[in-house]
Amino acid sequence: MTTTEAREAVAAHSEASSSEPTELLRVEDLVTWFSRGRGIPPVRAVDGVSLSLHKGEALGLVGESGCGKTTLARTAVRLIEPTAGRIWFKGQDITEHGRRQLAPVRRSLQMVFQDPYASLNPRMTAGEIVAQPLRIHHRYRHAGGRAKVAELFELVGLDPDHLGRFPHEFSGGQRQRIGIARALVLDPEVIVFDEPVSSLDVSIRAQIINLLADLRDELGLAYLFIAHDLSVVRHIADRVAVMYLGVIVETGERRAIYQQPMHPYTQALLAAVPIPDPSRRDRARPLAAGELPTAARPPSGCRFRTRCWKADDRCACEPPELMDRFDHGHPSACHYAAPREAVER
Amino acid sequence: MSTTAESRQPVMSIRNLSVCFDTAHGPVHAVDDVSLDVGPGQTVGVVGESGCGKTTMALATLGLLPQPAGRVTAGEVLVDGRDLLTLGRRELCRVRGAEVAMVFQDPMSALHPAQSILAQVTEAVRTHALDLSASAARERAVDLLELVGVADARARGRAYPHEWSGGMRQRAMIAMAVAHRPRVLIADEPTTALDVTVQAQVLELLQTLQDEHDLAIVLISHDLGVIAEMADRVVVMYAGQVVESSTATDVFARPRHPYTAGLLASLPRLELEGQPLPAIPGSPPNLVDPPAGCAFHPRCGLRQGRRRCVAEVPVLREIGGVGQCAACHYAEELHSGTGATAVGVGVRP
Repeated sequence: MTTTEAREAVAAHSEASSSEPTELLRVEDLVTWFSRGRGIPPVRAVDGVSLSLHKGEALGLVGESGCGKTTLARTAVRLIEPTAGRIWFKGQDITEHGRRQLAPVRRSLQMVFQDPYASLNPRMTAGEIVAQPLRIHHRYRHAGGRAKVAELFELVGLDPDHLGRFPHEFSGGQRQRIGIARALVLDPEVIVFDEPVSSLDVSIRAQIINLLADLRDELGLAYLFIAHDLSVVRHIADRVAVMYLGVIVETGERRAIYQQPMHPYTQALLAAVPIPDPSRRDRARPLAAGELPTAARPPSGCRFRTRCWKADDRCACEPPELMDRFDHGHPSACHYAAPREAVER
Repeated sequence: MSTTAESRQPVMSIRNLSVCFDTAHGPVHAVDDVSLDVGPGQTVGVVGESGCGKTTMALATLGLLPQPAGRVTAGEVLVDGRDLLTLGRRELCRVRGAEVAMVFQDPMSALHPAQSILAQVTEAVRTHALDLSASAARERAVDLLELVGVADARARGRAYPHEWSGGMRQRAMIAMAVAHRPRVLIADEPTTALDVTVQAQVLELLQTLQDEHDLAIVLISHDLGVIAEMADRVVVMYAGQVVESSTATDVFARPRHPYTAGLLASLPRLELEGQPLPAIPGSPPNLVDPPAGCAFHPRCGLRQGRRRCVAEVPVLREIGGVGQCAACHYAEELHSGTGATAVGVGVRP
């Protein structure tokens, strides 16, 4: 999917921002297919993605459900085996690493899940949940035991007196704080967030978003932040990658993506976000037609063409490459990529 | 749209509705003295967080509360001068679907998994048209599915719910809901389970149906964006009560309750890029043991330690313009100096 040109463009871009080897996580031409048995086409959840995440950076991965963003993230941290492609962590190729070799990588690479109800063991106390990664990595005592756990509780805004409580005794927002504390307890460098605020109430979301921003500042963490909500990503991410049906269709600095989206899908996605201002109801906006096709049989050529208002014959036969068409460090994968008036909120 | 709609008589009037659930921990007043009117061609948005009572209110209007735990303790739901809450089971069945219809959040659990979509829409057609022949009802069902944007409905209707996408399933639900040209459509988080691009399509469909049939819509959502896109009037609920009720324009431009103001201020937006969001502290109360006085007082930035907020339950009163109501003792302070900064109103766009 991604060509040498595009890779060079991305590489040139990342080099420009810093010459030090600050790259923490990188995937190249990553492919994850799920086979469904003989004779049935596999689900091509991730179909050739290259991305990199640098020290202290927050990369937002955006797309609708079924676009492969969760699979991409889980493959990148080796929770799912890739079908093809390479994964590097701090310059080290971890694609073939076994369980034992992965242990130190996993310590630095933690994950926070979407559903704070399903991702916490209901039969463990909050303290045990947060301590568990330390125990798995045989560091509980070394790290300071209960004191360390209490410290984490305070860091994420929980009362250390509640260490002995069970998950059901906490609210949704507090549970998500427990999940965040668990991800932080091993002092990781990278945290992958899979829709961390989607299941929270509106009034709680802002609290958690603020917490994530504070933690990043304080601890110098790098985030891979997955979301379908563009307004949340906008608040957290420095760089954004937009994913559609297994491929990245556009990537760039946050400002570039939001103020000058080039790919029709990005434009439609931004335009579809409801704006909490009734006076802007009648704004003109492009609507993506229909729905996401199945990832088992993606459309030929450009995968977005079945829903795109710009699509023509060329789009049906020639897959567009992800490349920096306008030389502004903001690659897009559309033959007819063009700026459109910013869709802002 | 709103100006003509508001001058007309409401199609449905909910008056002082209260609902109580008997639980193991004691009675829970899930809905407390809620009133709202919806006129023909008008959309009333009901916004609030989970547990604020918005779904319970909707279920109560159509006699769909879970039994025996839930019961209506007071109030009336008037449609054409008839109180739905006093109707018998048989009469209520004649109203449901024919005059007042409902669309639920999760179309997968609302549809029968082992019946084809077309069969289910056909059944919905026949419910209130028993004299219709099976084939005529089926034709009508095909028309309805095409009306809601399902192309080639005759063939695709043979599929089962799991074979359809979430957006298509919600279209089927809407087709069933409008089968008998109801005058009121209650849509409970109709797009929450959908992706944004599909959400935009479904909202547009609701808008089109409303324009064509002068449909009154009660749109329940936690998403302030969806409410702002769709509603003429907005009712904000918190802990089972209405805390604010106004035109959509007023609610979003000049919220009169600190909770509404706080919610709006906490939304991520352009001007706050890279800055902390003014969040509302704490979390919504547990209704088994609600706070004394104003239910919002433990989280309120406007309260500033004043006793009245704990001692006295604020009543919904007119403030600002005509028809703009809020339930807050100190609502007047919201848009002046210290009050504004206390709840983050000053930084609103």
